[in-house]
Amino acid sequence: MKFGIDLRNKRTGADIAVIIFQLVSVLPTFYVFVASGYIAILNKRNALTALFDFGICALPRWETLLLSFLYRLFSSEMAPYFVMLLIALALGVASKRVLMGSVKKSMAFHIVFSVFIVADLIIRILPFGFNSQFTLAFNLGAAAVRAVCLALLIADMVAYKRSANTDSAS
Amino acid sequence: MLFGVNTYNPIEDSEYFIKYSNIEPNGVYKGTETVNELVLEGDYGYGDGAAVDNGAIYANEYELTSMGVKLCKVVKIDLETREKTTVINDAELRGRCASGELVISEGAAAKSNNADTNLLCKLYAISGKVNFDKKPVISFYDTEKSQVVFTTEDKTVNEKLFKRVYLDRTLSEVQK
Repeated sequence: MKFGIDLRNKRTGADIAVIIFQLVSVLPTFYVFVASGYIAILNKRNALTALFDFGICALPRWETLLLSFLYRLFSSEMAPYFVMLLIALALGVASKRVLMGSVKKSMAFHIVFSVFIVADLIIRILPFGFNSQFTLAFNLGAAAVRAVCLALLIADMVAYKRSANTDSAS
Repeated sequence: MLFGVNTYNPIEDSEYFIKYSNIEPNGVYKGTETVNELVLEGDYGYGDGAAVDNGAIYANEYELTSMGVKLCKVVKIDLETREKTTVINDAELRGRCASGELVISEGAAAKSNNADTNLLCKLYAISGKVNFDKKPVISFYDTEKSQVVFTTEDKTVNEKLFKRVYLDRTLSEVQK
């Protein structure tokens, strides 16, 4: 796989990072959809609960907070997940447009996305505590997901800088 | 439900009571078991303590989410204006201590929520100050001053001990 934002027909690091966040956003919905039809699942631990735990932990902080605020607001477990699915969809569509657009906007996307991920990682390390409800294993897994996404974005930006330097030299 | 349910739960020694019913609306009523009028509709808690003081009723208000997570807050219902205000969110009124202050478990989820298995409880906790891993903070609420006068971390392990440590003692005894 080659990285670099000018490779329009190949998946770039930013593309993969967005797909990872989209997949992670979808994970908790499986638990909620099953629970809406089989409420006894709320009193059991199984693979779906692990997916939920990991999915919620691995979501960006603002998304998790929005989800829980909506949950509190509507007293419904279903509505917030539809909102979350829409956010995941919108992120994919918007990022596609930006990444396929001008190089300047694409670089800005890389930088902003990277800053968000770094901020998320810092919040995870600092004892802010609003994710302490989830177990350490899931929190570590979520941190790993963020780290991978950050690495993909940085690799992208490095590849672009190199290709820009090569172009100017030739 | 096949049969009609109409329970009468008087609040302390007052003329007010909380009714759970499938015939009439649930809520706070004024009067006797047979002759009464609705003060304010809603799902208020009786079992865990409700109080009448200084022209207001203090009670737990419950709200069930679509999948059965029970949310609880302490509300004050003004008996003159019949207006309801939230005293403390994510809290449960547990009764009165021996000196009359209301004893409230703050930052605690309702007991029926099982945080170990129900992940939706955890999600709910993220947006608030509720922490399922920690013991709740016990607040003593003075109804005359309308403010919390003392807080301490709950050290009890069950209802029996809770009654002995907080409800059977005066505020000054608890503070020692």
